[in-house]
Amino acid sequence: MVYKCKGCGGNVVYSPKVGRMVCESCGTEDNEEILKTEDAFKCPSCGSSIEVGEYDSSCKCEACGAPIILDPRIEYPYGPDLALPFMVDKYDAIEALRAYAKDKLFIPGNFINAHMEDKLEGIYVPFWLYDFDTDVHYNAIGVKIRTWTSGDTEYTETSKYAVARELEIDYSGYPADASIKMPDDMMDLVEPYDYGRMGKFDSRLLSGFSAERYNFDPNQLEPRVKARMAKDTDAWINSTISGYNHMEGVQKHVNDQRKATNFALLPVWDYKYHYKGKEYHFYLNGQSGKIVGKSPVSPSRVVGLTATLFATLAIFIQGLEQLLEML
Amino acid sequence: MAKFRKFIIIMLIIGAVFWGISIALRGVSVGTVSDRNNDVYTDESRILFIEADADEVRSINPEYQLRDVSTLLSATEKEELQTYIEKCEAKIGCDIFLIIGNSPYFTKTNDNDFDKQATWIENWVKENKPGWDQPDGNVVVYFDNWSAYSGDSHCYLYPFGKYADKLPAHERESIIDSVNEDVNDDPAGAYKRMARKVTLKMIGMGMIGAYWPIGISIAIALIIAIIFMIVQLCVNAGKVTVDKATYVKGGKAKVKLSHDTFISKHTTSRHIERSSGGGGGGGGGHGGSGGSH
Repeated sequence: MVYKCKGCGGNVVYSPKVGRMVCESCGTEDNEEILKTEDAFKCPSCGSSIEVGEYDSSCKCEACGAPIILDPRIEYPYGPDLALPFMVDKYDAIEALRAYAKDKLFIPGNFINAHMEDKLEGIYVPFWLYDFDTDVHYNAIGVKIRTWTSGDTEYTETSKYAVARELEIDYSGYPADASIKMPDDMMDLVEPYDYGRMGKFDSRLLSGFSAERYNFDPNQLEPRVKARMAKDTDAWINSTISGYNHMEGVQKHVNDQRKATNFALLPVWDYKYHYKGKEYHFYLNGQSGKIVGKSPVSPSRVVGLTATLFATLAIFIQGLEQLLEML
Repeated sequence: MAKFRKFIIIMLIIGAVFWGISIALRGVSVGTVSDRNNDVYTDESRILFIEADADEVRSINPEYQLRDVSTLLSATEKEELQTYIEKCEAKIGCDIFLIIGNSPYFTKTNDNDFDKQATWIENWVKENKPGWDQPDGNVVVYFDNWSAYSGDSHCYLYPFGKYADKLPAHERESIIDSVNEDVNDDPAGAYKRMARKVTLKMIGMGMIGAYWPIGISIAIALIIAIIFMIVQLCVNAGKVTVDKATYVKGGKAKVKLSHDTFISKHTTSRHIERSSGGGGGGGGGHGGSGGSH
């Protein structure tokens, strides 16, 4: 399906700037109607066949540029429960990337270029959000060591305590991206999202953006989430223990009970940058603007800036020597 | 990038200010140093060896063994030291002589007996008339007498001319002490330090007088630049901005039980081995100052 303007028939897309549907042609807000075809894989606007990936649920018609939403991929069993709308628009994303590049000394000079707009894609990434009740039973021997000296004798006092802890942790909305094409480590880094702005899924949010249905079911991703949660659980346990030099005979029983799972679409801007035959991806949190990505390195900048720093420091240090010599 | 550019500009400005102030202070301290003006003492060599006659020495005491001081400095060390002394001289407008001897004649008989060396230097200056600005002008003589037979070598620092007042007794002693720290192990390095310290005392204000060779400045700058480069290259893909509380309802875990029960305590002891040690110093008077190594 495609959202069309009731007034002028232009394409209507979701605008993060105003938080409404806006006609790309006449600028009218919230005046859209749905245009559908029987074959969901044909553009309702021009009738062209739509070439999409296995998991894509929203895309642009390559023939006419209409923002297509593939109904079968947003309906049962792929229908998202929740969606967080984009709050950073394309131009804010470009500005954020400019600011990001300014702080990266060795990033190639053409990282910021006139074609950034074309290389930037807004994607609703499928995430599973898990709710877990975690019970922790922790027992260990806490060892305190105190050392002091009296005369020619050094004393060491070792005290032992039975340490017992029981914790209940209510994990809520623990995310795991369910997309094959998005790297897990990058999606973990791009967090967090403020779920307070998240609402029930509304297909209008997808208009003008790419989106995917989930590529994995929640059971497949549960081990990944549990591994992340285990680190948090350890941090919670450690936050309740202090004053010991070390712990002995640690017995830890953690029971993670999954309460609920929600399928949510979370907004991410993906900036593709090509440098020396390699493609680099930078991901920008569509809500907070946080950017993650491994920066390419320009060898000429490395040499140039390091040499400049070296020369400057040499002048500074030698100048300091000259001054201190005179004083 | 903007921060880096700002840092570079600030560092360059501060560096230039340091250079500017030091050049200005040097101008105030020594004025303009003109070319050497002495047509009486024209020998360019600043490292002189005064070697005693072996037969004469043995006629006094057959057990005397003269130290071969000509081998104290290698040819390269001598050349480097000569060049360094020339640079120092040009900075302050003063001849600097290093005289190395091995005569038992200069052996002191009591703690303050440096008169023989002082007299010898005075006579040598009177006779030869060295001096940067004029014959009998600005001269500093460092006379190090290596006497092997007694196991005690004596040295003497004697300034002449307008800089004589700039090197009071305590300053001369500090230079001598500094040379004697390692002259036995590294005579070339120690004598270079002597020339450097004499120069610093002449031109500097005497409050800090720090010095390090340009190679050290380059090495420090290089190390910092390389560390900076490595740190920049090791920048992560992004910072983790979630913590243990991010996905916990209310941001807190419920602690249902928290008990720490004392079980046991035991104390061990060990005897600490201790060691002890000590040290000493030296002095001098006259128009110059003396010391021993």
